[in-house]
Amino acid sequence: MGDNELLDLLAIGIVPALLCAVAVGTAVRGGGFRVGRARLAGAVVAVAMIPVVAFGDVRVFALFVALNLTIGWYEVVPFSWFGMFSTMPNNATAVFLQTADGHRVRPETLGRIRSHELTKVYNQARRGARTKLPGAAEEEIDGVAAHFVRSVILERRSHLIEIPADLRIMRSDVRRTGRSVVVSESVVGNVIDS
Amino acid sequence: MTELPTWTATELVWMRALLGVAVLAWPVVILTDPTTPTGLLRWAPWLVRVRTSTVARFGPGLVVLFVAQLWSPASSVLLAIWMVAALTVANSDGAVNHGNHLAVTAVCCYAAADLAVWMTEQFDLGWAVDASTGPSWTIQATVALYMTSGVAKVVNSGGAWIARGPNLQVSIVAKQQELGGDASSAGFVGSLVANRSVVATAAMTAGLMIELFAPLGLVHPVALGVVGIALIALHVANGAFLGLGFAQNQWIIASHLVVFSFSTIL
Repeated sequence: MGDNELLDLLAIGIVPALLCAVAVGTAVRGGGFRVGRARLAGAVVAVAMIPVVAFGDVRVFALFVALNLTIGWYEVVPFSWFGMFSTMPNNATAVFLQTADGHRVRPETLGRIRSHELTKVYNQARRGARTKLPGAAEEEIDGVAAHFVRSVILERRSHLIEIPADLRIMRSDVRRTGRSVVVSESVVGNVIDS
Repeated sequence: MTELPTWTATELVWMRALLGVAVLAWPVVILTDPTTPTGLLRWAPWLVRVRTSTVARFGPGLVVLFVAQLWSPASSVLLAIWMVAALTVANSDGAVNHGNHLAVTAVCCYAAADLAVWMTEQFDLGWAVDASTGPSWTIQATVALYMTSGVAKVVNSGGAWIARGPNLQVSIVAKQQELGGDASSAGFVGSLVANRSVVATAAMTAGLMIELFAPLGLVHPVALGVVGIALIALHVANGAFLGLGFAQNQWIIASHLVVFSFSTIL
């Protein structure tokens, strides 16, 4: 097997196999790993493609993978139209649950929202109750944000649980972590208990 | 190690024509004004002032020139630029719609290949390019796109994509409720997935594997055909469960990865 064939094997066989192993291993073990570490793994894949672009036989393939995982991924550089080559949810983000200890994030995603919606929810949550619901507690986030968070939960859980109309979501229940909105477990806990 | 199909001149003409049909049948649709510029529009916001309807008129004509290979490579390159610009505007309304991505990718590959062939002929560069380079690059870019999609699923989920099988159940139910039905409206397989978390997890696993191992299609023409069928099946399932069929992608995969891969070995 020549050098080119080794590089091709790396690009089209070994890298996918390693990622499969990560996905299966994580599923079996449970949990997950931090997004920063996960993105580092993606960056490693992109870097692994560089020698394939230079010397391999499947250069176009490797070039597209590297572009997708860098320029098209983070959408932070001006040439982000390469993002169209990617099928990633560039400006979507995830809503996660957080367990009581404040560190572990549950693996299941509750829903995906656009980044500007995320910002709206976060800002409103930080500002606190500006337009409170009638009879709302002091720390309750305003109606729009509460409605939004409730809608996300409702959308994702509607076939599993019943959402009470008087559900209250407190400012302390919602916080932002990176590109995610974290909703306290107690919120959903209340819903499930009801 | 890698072996792509070899096509006859007639098959190459058909592949290019079928790509042109895909571009015309599922055009880039600009629904709203660009409020969140991406890509080109960040650098050249004045592009917004160019009337979309005016630009759109050039599309079909460029496709005809592209398919007929008239004024090549200028027509191919112009079509690629036109599609990139149109998709950039379409994706500048605050969200990224992944429709048309594969078609633009394919047209870009054909345009680059046409340009490379022309440059080689004009300047005697000695590059190893010919009429089959466009389809060859398109196939490589296609499997790269799907592999990247798989990588994104693993990375963005913190490695826990497979463990999120229940999300598929929720998505199926939510989609069917949106359409006025319930889980049973998703058909036998759909309702089975929606009601059995084990089946949902298996479906999520299968989908991820298909995407991550799409590059194995580059090993042999038969493998390419198998990968193409698997990708189409993935889209068909997504279409049935979630209403996300990506018909244009299916068309391009069928014409470039499946039909003419098996025909070369028969």
